[in-house]
Amino acid sequence: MSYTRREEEVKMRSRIVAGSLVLAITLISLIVLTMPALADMPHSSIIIGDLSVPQGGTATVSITITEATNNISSVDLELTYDTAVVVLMNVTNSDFDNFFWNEPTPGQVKMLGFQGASASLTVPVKVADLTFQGVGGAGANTSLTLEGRSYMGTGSPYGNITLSSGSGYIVEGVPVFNTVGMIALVGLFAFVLMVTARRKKDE
Amino acid sequence: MAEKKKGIVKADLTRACIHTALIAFVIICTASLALANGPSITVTPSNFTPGDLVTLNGTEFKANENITLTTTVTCWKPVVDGQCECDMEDFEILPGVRFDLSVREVKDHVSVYIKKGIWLPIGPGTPGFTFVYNAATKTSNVSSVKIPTGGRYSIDVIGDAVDGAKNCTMTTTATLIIQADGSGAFSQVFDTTGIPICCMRVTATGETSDPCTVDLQLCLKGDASKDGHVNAYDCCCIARYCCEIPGYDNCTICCTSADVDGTSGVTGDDARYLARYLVGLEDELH
Repeated sequence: MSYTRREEEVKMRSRIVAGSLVLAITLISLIVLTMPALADMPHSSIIIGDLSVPQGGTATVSITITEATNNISSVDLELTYDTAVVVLMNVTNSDFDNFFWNEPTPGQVKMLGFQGASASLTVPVKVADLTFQGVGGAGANTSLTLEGRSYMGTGSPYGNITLSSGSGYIVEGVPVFNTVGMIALVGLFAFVLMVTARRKKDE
Repeated sequence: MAEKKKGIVKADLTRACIHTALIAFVIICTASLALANGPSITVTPSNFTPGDLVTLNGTEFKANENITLTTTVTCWKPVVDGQCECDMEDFEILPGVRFDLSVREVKDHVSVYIKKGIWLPIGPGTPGFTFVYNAATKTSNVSSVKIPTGGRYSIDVIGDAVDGAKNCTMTTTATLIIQADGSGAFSQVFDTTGIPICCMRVTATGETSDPCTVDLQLCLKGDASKDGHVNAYDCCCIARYCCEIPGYDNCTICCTSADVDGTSGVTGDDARYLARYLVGLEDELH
């Protein structure tokens, strides 16, 4: 009796394993078969670079649509960042005919660009340059997280979209210009030159 | 004598009028009664925007009969760079629904991508789908078998437009069979999220009862492109409509939805106002 039960258990396990194998093979086949067709599917990539801001200084980072199978008629984006690390100063230089931005909540920037009478854009498309001021201490960092979508000339959103977020770092600030030190340095240099010239003359 | 004759004529006329009125009244009453006895469907609420839940109530069907509910959405899209493309995002498909697509003014089969979790391409030869291209009507038709699992789907349909076409038409038909209760009534709730604000028609056809139809008007302020969403592309559409770019016309643009800035008429200011609203610089659409 016990032997029969074991036999049944073994059979059941074998069936489960066989079933799982069939399922796995089916899934893999489905993925392999659909991959080439999926490559044809309209897709787009939007990236924001990394930002390195001097402490107390400013730096600019660009948001760019680097890849799009079709052209681009418009874009809706939202960028989030840590206001304890950097603060947004300005958003400029968009390739879109019409560009609007707003920071309704500190650390959350909404951007919208669209083409009017002009033709839709082809990649690479600069969405905008964003200028930040570093307010955090040296070594502080924040992620620059992008969300949103771009739209084709036909109006359909790119269903397959890759949004690459960036990072913002605060680097050691440039030292303040030291006038006294510079005068001393120039004086020392002049003194060395004078001494060298006199030695040559003496020789 | 002449006055007496006039009086008689007047009396005859009055009698004739009364008879005509009575006959008309009887006809109207009979027709009303006949209509009242036929199947009917009502929509609650009567005014809604994409995203609302809508209840379809049917009455006066035969008890326990199977009813075929057919929802047809027709939308017009501008042809851009020789392509026409229609998409519906995150719309709900009920289990057991059969789906048909028809895109007119295209050169060949359309390419279809369906998303439920991940995007999957659907083409001629995909099991469960039938692709037929009619060269005479320049129409590509795609039919599905009953979709076993319901849920939220997105669909993207792309086709090469025939030369010279300024816009193309996509008709989407979802068919669901439900059963009337013992009193011949049914109630079906459906989610309008992602449904384009175009022409939408629901027809209920019983096995033996007469079909009845209701046309739904969906309106979403700002959704100039009539795709059921308000986004950056609507600004683009309004601007292109104002610049009279071919394809962006009264057929493909919903002027009522596009007029958002509080001043009468659709102008470039509406596009800019909508953009400002979308980034949070304006509080409301007018």
